[in-house]
Amino acid sequence: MNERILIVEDSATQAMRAKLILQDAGYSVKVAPNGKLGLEEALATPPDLIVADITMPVMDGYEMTRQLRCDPKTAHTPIFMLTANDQPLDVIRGLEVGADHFITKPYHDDFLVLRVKEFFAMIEHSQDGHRPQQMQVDEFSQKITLTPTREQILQALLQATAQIINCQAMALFLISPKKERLLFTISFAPLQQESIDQISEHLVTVLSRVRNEDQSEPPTHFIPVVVKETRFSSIIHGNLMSAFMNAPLIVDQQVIGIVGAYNTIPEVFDLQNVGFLFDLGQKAAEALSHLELN
Amino acid sequence: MPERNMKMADFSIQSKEEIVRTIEEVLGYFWTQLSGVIGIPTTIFVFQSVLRETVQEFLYFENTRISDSGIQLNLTGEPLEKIERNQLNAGLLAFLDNCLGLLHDLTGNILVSKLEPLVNEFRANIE
Repeated sequence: MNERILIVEDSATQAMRAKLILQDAGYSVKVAPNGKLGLEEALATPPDLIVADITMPVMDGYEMTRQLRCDPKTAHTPIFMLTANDQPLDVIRGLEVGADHFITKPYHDDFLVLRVKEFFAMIEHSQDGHRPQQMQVDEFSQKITLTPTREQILQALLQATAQIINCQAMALFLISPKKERLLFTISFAPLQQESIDQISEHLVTVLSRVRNEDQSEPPTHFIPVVVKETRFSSIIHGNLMSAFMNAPLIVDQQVIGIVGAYNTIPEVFDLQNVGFLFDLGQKAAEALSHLELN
Repeated sequence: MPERNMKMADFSIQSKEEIVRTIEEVLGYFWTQLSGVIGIPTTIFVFQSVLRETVQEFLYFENTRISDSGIQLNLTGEPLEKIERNQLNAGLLAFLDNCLGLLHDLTGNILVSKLEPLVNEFRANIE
């Protein structure tokens, strides 16, 4: 293992920490202190992976990523972005400029190495030995091809949002360009099947209504994600629809999906939460419309 | 929640033109309240969905226009004269009810509770 990783980070302490962690794991690591120097280094010697902070002087991580994607030499170089875990808009903007993966800060040493190892393992196991474009997910005997990094981005987006609005579960119901219906849920403890069915049924009804469809069609693909959090130790009990908010994702006056937030505690959401979710939905819709689903 | 600044008129002595004017004020209030929370693009979409649903039963909404600046029912003159009073009232209430129904599907009682008192007041005056 001697993959080359470029760390772009303005904090000398954090850059050194990441460098040591990754060097100890066997990677060859270089460091650039801002986006401009990171861009120059990446274009001069394209690395196998870039791990970049977002907020940096001279040039931030978004602009660096955008410019890297415009150059044929680095158009396909994998880029992990480091983001604070309560900033869903970071994720959306990263998605728009072409980031592949998000690692939320503060991160544990093992987590960074694990993510990097997983990523290179996927490349190694891909047929052509290049950056993986898609992976197959089997759920309930149905198959969907979803870019793995995009799946991770969805997770990061929902997780960051959930932290802010203090919900117990979130769901994203998306209709792919091929009319497949993907239900992506994220919760901080396992959900009871009854809750999943209830959320699914509700979203189908709402989506049909806002899309003015006669027939309600259930999800064709289902991807549940459980994020372990200390504040939730076991399965989530109770009626998750006791409090809910659903924001339609609208692109060019077409609804491409719905993002929802749920809690077993009645009246836990307020107007401010609604405003946040709908604002997020508007910003996410355009970014998610480019989601690679099949 | 900001105090509502609308006084509901006595519908029993009003003409159809006056009722339409009043409902446009009610819808204007809806528009202001909703767009401040869920944003203008989503507010436009909500009203377009409600319009599509309502016009299936009450065809006289077909000239209604929804834009960035709000809702214009465009119900005046001869077309308005042709509408029976009870049909007019039923259609306007259906529009408001469909709007509350969609908002309930989206956010439970959070937005509905903000708008429902005005709808109830309108209903009480019109029925």
